[in-house]
Amino acid sequence: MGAGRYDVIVIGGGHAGCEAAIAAARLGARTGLFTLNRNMVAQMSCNPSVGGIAKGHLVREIDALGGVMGQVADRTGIQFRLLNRSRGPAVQAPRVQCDKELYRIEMQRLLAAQDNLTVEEVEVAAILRRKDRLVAIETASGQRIDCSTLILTTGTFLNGLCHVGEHKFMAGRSGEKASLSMAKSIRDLNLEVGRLKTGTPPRLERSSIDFSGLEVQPGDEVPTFFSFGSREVQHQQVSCWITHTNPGAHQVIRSNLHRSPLYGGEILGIGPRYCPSIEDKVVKFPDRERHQLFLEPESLQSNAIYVNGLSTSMPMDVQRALLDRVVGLEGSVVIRPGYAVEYDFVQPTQLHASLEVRKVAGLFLAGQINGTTGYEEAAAQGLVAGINAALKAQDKEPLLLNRAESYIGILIDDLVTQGVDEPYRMFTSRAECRLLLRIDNADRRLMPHGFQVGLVPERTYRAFQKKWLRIDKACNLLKTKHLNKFDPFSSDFRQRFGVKLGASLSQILKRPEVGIENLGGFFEGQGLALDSEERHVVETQIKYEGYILQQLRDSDRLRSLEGRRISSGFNYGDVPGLSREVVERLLRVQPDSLGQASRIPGITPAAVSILNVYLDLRKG
Amino acid sequence: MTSIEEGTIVAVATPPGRSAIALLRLSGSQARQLVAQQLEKPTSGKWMERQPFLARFLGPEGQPLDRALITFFPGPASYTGEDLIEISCHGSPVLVEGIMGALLQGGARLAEPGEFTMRAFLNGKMDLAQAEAVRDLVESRTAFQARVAAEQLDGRLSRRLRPVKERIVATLCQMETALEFVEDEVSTEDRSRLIGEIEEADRQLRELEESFQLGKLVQAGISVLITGRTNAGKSSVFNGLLLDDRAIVTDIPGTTRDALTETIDLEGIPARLADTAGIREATDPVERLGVEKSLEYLRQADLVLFVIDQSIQFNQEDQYIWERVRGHPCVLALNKEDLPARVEIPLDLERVCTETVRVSALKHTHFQQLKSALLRAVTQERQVANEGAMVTNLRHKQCLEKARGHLEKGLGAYQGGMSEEFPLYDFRKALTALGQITGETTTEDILGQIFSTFCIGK
Repeated sequence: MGAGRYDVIVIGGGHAGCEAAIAAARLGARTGLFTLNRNMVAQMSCNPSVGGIAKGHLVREIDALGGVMGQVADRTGIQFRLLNRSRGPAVQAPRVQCDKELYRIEMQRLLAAQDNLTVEEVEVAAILRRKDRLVAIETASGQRIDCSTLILTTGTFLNGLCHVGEHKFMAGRSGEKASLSMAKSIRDLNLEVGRLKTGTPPRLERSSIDFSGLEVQPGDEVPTFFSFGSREVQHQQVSCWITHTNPGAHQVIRSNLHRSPLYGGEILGIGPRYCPSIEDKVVKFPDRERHQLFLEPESLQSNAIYVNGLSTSMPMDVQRALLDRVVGLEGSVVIRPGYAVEYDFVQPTQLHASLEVRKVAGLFLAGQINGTTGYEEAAAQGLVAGINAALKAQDKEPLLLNRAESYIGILIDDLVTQGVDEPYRMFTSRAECRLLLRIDNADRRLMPHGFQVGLVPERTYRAFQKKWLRIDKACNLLKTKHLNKFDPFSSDFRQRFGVKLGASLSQILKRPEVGIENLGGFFEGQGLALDSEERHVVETQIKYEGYILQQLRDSDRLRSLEGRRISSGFNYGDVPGLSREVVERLLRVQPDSLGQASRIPGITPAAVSILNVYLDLRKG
Repeated sequence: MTSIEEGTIVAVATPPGRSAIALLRLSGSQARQLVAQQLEKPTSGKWMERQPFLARFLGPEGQPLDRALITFFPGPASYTGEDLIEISCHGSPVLVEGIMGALLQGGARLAEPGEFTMRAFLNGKMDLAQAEAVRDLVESRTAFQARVAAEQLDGRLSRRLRPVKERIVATLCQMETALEFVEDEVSTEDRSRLIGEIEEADRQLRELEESFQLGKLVQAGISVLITGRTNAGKSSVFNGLLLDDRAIVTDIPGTTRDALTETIDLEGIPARLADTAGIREATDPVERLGVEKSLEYLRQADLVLFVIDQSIQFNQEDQYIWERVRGHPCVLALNKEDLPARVEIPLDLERVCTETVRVSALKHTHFQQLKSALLRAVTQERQVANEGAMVTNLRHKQCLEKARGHLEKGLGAYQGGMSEEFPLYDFRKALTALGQITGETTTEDILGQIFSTFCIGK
């Protein structure tokens, strides 16, 4: 192996590409990250934040596996918020607003400092293969560079077409040229390709906004970080502001819909339903009189304000008229108008769960090219592709994550099993075992994988083990310790909560009105030093034990179906009772397991039963 | 255990024994070829879709067996979704055996119980509730049973469940949205509206679940024990009930020496009447054995028909019986109404028996009223001709029960102020349980269980 210049080449320096390149290099693969513009590597092209519900879960998981997005976001965060604070632990997630400039610089610093990794400005013109195996890339200047594996993380650059009103131009991102030769090269590989669309709001000059009448939204006083090792914020913290659209602003949009590329028929790609443009919101929710807008500083140094919630591809003069009707934004200076971008994606049902293309051994795809939207979804795939491309270059088995243990597993399984017909975004409701996949146990679920594969350093892993020893010990103590009158909190409990002597502390903690803080110095008295996060985990595990146990049974069932493996050359045509349509769908996805087969759209439970029986017959 | 191995299956669809005609069915990709090779040539022009044609059916040695009517239903527009052929031949058991033998020898395989319907289900021709309805339809003994089964085959239960499921799904979607998009806080009003939606779904499911009370009677029928002291006329009442019945479905009489049993049709519900030796203080061992048997019948009976001679005083013997049957649902028949009334019914007996009817077995009067009283006593005023779908299957009832359990647990959690993801967990489980009724979510276990109770040929 490794006869060429690189073991792993990553094309594209976005969130997927950065994770992929660092992971591959850390696993010992000689790695090249090829980008069109070195300075734009790790650019946050859209909103200035990382995380949010389900997305924050993904970042915690990336961190647990040994990825870098969480660390970089923590180090460059200028506002930290834990979302869904009023809800249960499984749906709470951190969101960190980052300084965009600092984020880019910090990620570029990590890349530069990484052994085995070279960042090069190269325009790739073609992917070269021999039979069904990838062998090299060819640059625009005609140079051939050999590699064992190749990861494409091209984002919105494949045949990227930007729209601002009637005006359209080929570009991967505002001001950066689209990748046409790569798009052609992918079509030449005979891969099924589709078209998607995404959009971004206008950026405004801070000094031109009147913040006086707007609601201020500060960050949390105690920050919630992504990364296992993060302890404190590194930069000055900022607030955001909230304003709203209004019927007047909506009227501007309605009377100009014919000029919208979205409604005028110019844009053919399918946009994200869950992150709609303002023209979409006005058309689809005609009864709503206003929509919330968040004004978010993009950086401590720059003057740019990101208008979250106002994604649009309306013509410039309409954007101007629209802004003039929103409180605080009247007469504001537009640094860059909102725009939409259409791009090619590869239907991900053509991939293995390792993110390797089934038809072309050694070729991996990650990020928006697989039809996803969002930095976090991209980074998660980049990490998995980077790990697996390096493992493949080293002739090792791939790392596959399952739905019962991680959102990353769910993300990849959904992509390769269901395919996408609109930009895919992660939601907690996609998880069968949602109550188990919490941010507070992402490390427990995934760090052993990260350590085993070689991404998590030994020291971190030891600290992780000690942390969970403490937590498990604390849970056991609470279950075995019964209230007696000598306990310092005994009279307090009896008076305030009507608890009887002899009740176990875990029973007491399960009462809705009791919190772990009521135990005072109990753990210290037992020689256990828990920090506040660890206490929180203990409380969660005890309080929601009933639901957690039920979900553990669900996850066992899920895993057992995943354990029913289907070999890669399985001939579905041999199975009696399967309709031709079902066979075609199975062949299209080529599921690795019965569990995966059961999730393919159009596969009936009856068909799954038949397969189940047939797999048994073949085994016996 | 059901089998889904490859092969063309064949079975006789009509009951065994001599009859005017018999019907054989084949299903599978080889069906046409298997039949064609047994027919006297030429048949080439005759194979028209769903057009019966007459042909001479030949035995294995080419000897003519019968002139048979062949109908070809090409898949997928057939009952099983595969190529299906029906052969109508003359109903001699020897002849049927000969035709079957020829087909089996030609390469067909004998169908397992329920395999035709199983194939129809597996090929997506019907949902699970419909497949079960086929079995019920085949086994129905009264016209009403047949109608209920036919309604289910028509997908009535599935259709009735659909709006309930949709209501739950719509509520779930709103709750999920609230979790995923922070801006959309759930107000207190929203919360109580969502709770109301789930409560309504729960109420509709309860209604369905309760229909099983009647549904199971329709399906399984009821057993009625006729008792009374010697000479009260219980055997005459027994015969009177039979005499009045125009649609008697006769079990083999005298199957036991301890009781005479017959089945009558109580407005669609099959009622098995048992006339037993009687309940009295027995001295000799043989008689004691008979009484013990009667008491055993009593324990299994859904209803007791207590016959009293109204022309004489209520006596010790009556009292003895009354003390034994007390606690069972009971209808009182005051026999010999053609004679002057002398009986005085004890107050507690009168209070407990919901229905009292005066009849005369001798003159055969008021037996229609007696039958109505029996029916009312078991259905407890429930409308037999229920407009909505009725649950007649225990498995369906259990799924409904499970679904309601999950809904109510989730409601409790939500009302108790827990965050949406917890009740959502329970509500999703409820949906899974409902899905098991129609087979949208199912396991091999359920499939096996359902299809193994089919009779062969359907």
